[in-house]
Amino acid sequence: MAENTETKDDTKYDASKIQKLEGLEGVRKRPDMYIGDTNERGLHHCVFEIVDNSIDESLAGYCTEITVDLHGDGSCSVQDNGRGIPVDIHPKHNIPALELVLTNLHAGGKFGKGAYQVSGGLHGVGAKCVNAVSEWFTAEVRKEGKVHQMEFSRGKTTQELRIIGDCKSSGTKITFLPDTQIFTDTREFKFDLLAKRLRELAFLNPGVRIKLLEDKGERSEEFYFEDGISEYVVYLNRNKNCLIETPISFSGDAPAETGDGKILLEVSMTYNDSFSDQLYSYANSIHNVEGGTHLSGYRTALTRVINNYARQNDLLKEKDISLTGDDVREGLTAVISVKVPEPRFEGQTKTKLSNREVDGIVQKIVGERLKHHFELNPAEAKIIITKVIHASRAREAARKARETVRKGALSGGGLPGKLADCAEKDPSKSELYIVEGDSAGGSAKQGRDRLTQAILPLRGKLLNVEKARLDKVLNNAEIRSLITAVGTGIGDHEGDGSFDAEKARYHKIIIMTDADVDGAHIRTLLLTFIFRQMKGLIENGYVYVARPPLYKIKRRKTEQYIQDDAELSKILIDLGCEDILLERLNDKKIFEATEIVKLTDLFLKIEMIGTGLNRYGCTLTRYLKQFDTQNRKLPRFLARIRTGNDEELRFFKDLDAKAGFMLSQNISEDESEDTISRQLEDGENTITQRISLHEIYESFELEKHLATALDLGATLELFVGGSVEHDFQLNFINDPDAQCIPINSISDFLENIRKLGRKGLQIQRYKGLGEMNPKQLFETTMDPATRSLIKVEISDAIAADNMFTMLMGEEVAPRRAFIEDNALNVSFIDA
Amino acid sequence: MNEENKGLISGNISEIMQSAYIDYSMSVIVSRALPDVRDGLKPVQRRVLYAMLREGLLHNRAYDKCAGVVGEVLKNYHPHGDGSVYDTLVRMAQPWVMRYPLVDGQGNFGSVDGDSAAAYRYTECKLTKISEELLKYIDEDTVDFIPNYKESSTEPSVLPSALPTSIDERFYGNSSWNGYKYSSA
Repeated sequence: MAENTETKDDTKYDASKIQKLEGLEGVRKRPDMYIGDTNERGLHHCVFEIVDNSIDESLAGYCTEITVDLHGDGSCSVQDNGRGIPVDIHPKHNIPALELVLTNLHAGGKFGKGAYQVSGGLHGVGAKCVNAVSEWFTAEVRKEGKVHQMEFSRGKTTQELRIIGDCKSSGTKITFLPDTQIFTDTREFKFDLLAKRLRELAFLNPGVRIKLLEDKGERSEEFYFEDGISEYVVYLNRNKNCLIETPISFSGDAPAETGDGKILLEVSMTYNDSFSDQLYSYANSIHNVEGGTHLSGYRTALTRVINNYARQNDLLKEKDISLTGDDVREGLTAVISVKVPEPRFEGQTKTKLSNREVDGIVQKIVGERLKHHFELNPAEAKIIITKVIHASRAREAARKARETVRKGALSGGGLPGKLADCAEKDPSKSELYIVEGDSAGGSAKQGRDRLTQAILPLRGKLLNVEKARLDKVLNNAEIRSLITAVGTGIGDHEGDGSFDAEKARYHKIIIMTDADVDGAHIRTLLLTFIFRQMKGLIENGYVYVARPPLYKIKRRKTEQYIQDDAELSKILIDLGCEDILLERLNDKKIFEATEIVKLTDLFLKIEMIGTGLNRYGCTLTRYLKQFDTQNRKLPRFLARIRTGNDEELRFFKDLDAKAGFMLSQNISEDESEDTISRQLEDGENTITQRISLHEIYESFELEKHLATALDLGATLELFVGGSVEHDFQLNFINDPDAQCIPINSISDFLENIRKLGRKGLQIQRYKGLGEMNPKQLFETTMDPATRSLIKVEISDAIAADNMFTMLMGEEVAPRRAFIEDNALNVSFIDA
Repeated sequence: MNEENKGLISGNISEIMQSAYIDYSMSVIVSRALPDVRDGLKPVQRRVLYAMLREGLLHNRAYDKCAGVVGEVLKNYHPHGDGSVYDTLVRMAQPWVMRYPLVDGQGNFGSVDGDSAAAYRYTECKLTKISEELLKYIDEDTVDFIPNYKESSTEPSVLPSALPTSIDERFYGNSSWNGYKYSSA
């Protein structure tokens, strides 16, 4: 790929200036085009690209299990048990098919109908783009009795295809580490974001078992829905009381208007005793947040069927008014999935389906099938319709309540008296601070920038709206002033006073509560109200949480505010590094301050990544002892062998060494993932031997940091310990009389640095915002130039909905279980 | 990162809720709602009794203003609202709540009908004889002292409690130990 790097010094615009990007270089130059963006979304998109390939394999009927594993070093592996990507030499291109599909754009098995009949991959570019944006990328294919492996780096092949062992199974395993050169903002995978999409994939593709594991946090989830979306409806209601025992599910199809395919429809629905609805619509496995024609068709049919049935069976009297769409949706959970041959979407984010014909088709199928179901199950129909009629009456009562309230405050009555509004009238420039209590409210009001910042103090604990009906909520004074101040109205029903994000008076609504536990509680109560009644604010990105400083540290004459514990630990390290010199004793080399900072940084990284090794039963020092000083390599594999009561660890530098070991132990590749147990004959006794093999995903990052540290002058002994004689010591610059501190290991070093940092330091933990002067509060928490805010996002609406039901709802048992399970995750306890 | 996004972190609503909720509920469980099995007292009750001892409000001395006690508790031991402190004090003085009141009150301390006590600027209080038994020998190195919230002084982690208060549930009346109220958290 040398031709495109040629440059000439003259500025003439000629043919030499025209570049043709070869291979995957184009992807690296313009990653946004291929993976969306280079932020969080694009990063997770990489995983989904790989998973989509495995899903396609399952649609073709060959794959039943997909495992997504997030490793401690930031890499991710996706493994399936499909057929495996072909590895034979391609007849035309003369390279292995595996290499072809992973390095060449527009190469794949989904263009003809030969290998795949249907495919979900709408994005089309697939694994090769992920390859291009990865620091390293390995593919392991089990196929036809052999394990094949290839390695790449930034889209280029670094290890040709080779056979590394035997196997009985088949499948593909892709492991990759996103490239920092591409993903400059963040490289950290978010468990919840992945879980949300993988869960959806699992229920839209019944029978596929999708596992998501996280090595570091030890979280894991398994998604497996045998019954597809009906099981999903059950899942959506797991913390709720369903009115009918099993969800109503049906499917149907109709010929599509355009193209020659069929439109397939699947619906599953149930009712629970809550007051909100959950409707999820999917077109070709893509979640349509804003709905579209399939959802509107379903709503129309549902309202009509319920009204007709109620009238015909005398559940609704002639004089009663008809049930509205809002009534029939109270407590409804429904999942609607359509497969459209040629889907059209509205808007850039593809969140709304716009195929006209879908509306009618869905109406027709739902109308027929639901009516049929009601006639076969009159008892169920009666339960549902009674619930809907109750909802209708409650809605009528709430409407009256709202009307009374409206006269007072909801609209037209002016702004609440407690609100200190800002001078700016343009919502996009205005900010509203919701402050806990009048004490903090006063500080905030005096300290604020009155041009753009408005303050609303709320007294005491807000009403828990999860446990109260709407009319009670609307009668609460604090909630009323909140609603009026924000100006959007509430709820998702139609008519006066309903939520409208356009009317928001501020585009930044900032929750600013004390840094104590009551502040935390008020935060949960406020979020519950916003999530349940003004969800659109969060979806539009208007809701923030302020981060007041947690500590004030005072050292000699200087004061500093500290945001969180991580920052405190960093500052302690920085302070500890001041005034000291690190000396290497054997040659009297003195490290400079900048070098010390660099070394400390590397030590911290190594220490952090190294904690993950504990799960293999290996300590960091023991592992680092295996460092190959010549090739600067750390072993990639580890075997834990337990014979009787003795445990032995064996390390292997690469796949060949591991394969050799397995051959000598008669272990076939298939079993390598799990622990193997076998009986050994030892004279007369039989001893049980257990061997477990692990791939150490952290090795690349660790050897990189270790090598850098060694280049800077650290010795390997620091990392592996063991030497009785210390090689390093810390000297004090300003105090020649002070005792030098001998340093034996990196943990020694870090511990001493932290201790030095704490010396002469006063650390004060803030409890309330009122402790600060107005000016201090502004400088630390409210000044747009320096403040730090958390933007509240809903990355998984279903999980969030369940979370609110569990934490704030009526049912005590799930909450108790949650507290018991998470008791140790508490970040601080107020005495 | 552009100017607009400076200092902006994105947070998932589920995670924000979880961590805030766990912090709150665990704090309520560990250091607010549950009495210690050794002396049968919740932290706020222990603090009121200890502050009264330090103020010298013994049973054989004169009554003094409740406002002083509330102030002392707030100043040194209990950085929360004054209402919670005064309510605790009043409750410990009500003979229809406590079989043996721990506080001897002078003035309107409410009635069994649910009338509330007079404000703390009017009422006066001192320890009862029995609550002095709970505090007896506290300065003889009988219990551990821990630093107070602002680390300016110390408070007892538990009272010496010469009486088997938590074993005999009649001691405090019916509902000192409400059970932890998960549902109201």
